[in-house]
Amino acid sequence: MDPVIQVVLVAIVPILVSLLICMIWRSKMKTAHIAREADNYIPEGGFRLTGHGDMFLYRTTTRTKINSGSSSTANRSGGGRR
Amino acid sequence: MANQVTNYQCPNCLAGLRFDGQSGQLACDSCDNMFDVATVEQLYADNAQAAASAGVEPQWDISMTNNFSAEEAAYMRGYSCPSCAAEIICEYTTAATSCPYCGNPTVIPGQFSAQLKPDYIVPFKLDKKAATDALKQYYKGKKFLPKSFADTNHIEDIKGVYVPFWLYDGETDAYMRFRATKSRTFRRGDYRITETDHYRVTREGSVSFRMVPADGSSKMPDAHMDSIEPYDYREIKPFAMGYLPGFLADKYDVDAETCSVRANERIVTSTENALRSTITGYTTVTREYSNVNLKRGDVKYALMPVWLLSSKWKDKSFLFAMNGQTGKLIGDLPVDRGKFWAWFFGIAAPLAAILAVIVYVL
Repeated sequence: MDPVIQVVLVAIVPILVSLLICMIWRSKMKTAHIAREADNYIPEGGFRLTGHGDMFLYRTTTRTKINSGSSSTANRSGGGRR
Repeated sequence: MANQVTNYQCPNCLAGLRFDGQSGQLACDSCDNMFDVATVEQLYADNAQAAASAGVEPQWDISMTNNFSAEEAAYMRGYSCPSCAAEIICEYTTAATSCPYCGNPTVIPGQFSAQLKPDYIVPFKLDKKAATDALKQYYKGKKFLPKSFADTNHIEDIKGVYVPFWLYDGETDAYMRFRATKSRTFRRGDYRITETDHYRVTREGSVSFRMVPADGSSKMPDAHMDSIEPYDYREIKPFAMGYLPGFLADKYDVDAETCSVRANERIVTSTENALRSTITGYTTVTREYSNVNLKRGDVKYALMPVWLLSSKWKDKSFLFAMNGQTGKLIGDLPVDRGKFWAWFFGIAAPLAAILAVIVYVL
């Protein structure tokens, strides 16, 4: 096995695993967070969707040759509702 | 063939579009896209409508109700804390022996000054034993907690406090616009082809909100109060003095107008999230424009039950709070650095030894 890989496995991996475990435990010590939303205060039936639109604009096409990896992009026309 | 330069911009690259007489469509010479005239005109009509209905500042109906009557005021006592300037009130049969916010044991009795009487109260449902049991359970398994923190005597200092809240009702009307894509990839001969369809997505809707809370006490950290939400409003009662004996209460010192900024932000975010959740079936969705109008609503003043314990460690204060109705609790606990590093090396060293055996021996 490559000596660099050996050092990573024996030294770096235990440090990272131990740090991850300790940070998870530490995060459970600080549980106070500012609330950013008020979803709990929307009553039953309180949300009404009054309008929606999904308008197709245009299509872009990318072609990549599988063997050589070269690619080109062609834009096709578009417009209208779908 | 007639070619005509228009003042429309390409939805893809924002270059100017020209009318191509041969195809009857608007053409972009920059990115070679072609668009139906009706589509582009609809895009511009949507933009104009959105600009016309740009949001106005919401107006909350903060018409106050009544103050405590002279008879009611006679049954109340006030205390002030010389350490953190908290002002606590309680019913006359209850005595405040220490400050629930900073733990200072020398609170000073004072006059109960005339003040706004709450509209509502959520009574305490969980008693002191339930609070101390929950706190002991919360301390268990906290590997980095300093030993002195779990001292049993100090846990008994936990106090039941009614925290002042402003409750906001309101309704929003919102319009949002997004760019969305649907992609598919397939093989044709020697080529891998990715087709991406670009969409403009719009959503409009209205959302009602009832009793969005914001705590009216500068002494109570907003993050703590937010974290023990929600309260069950089915048990909210019109305020009555009979709910106070045995508990402390805090006076509001942050007015409704100031607190409304936080409530507004939460309402706007929830409105946007509600509209966004109706968009499905796309590979990517990117918000382009949002306009949320917040309609006038009522504001009420309420007291909410919280079990509080303030602890000091290495000259820093740490606050534990438990929802006195639902039991939801949060705690801001100190981390003993020595214990942290002891556990860190206690996990890393054996793990390194095991991996060393695997890598070098096996």
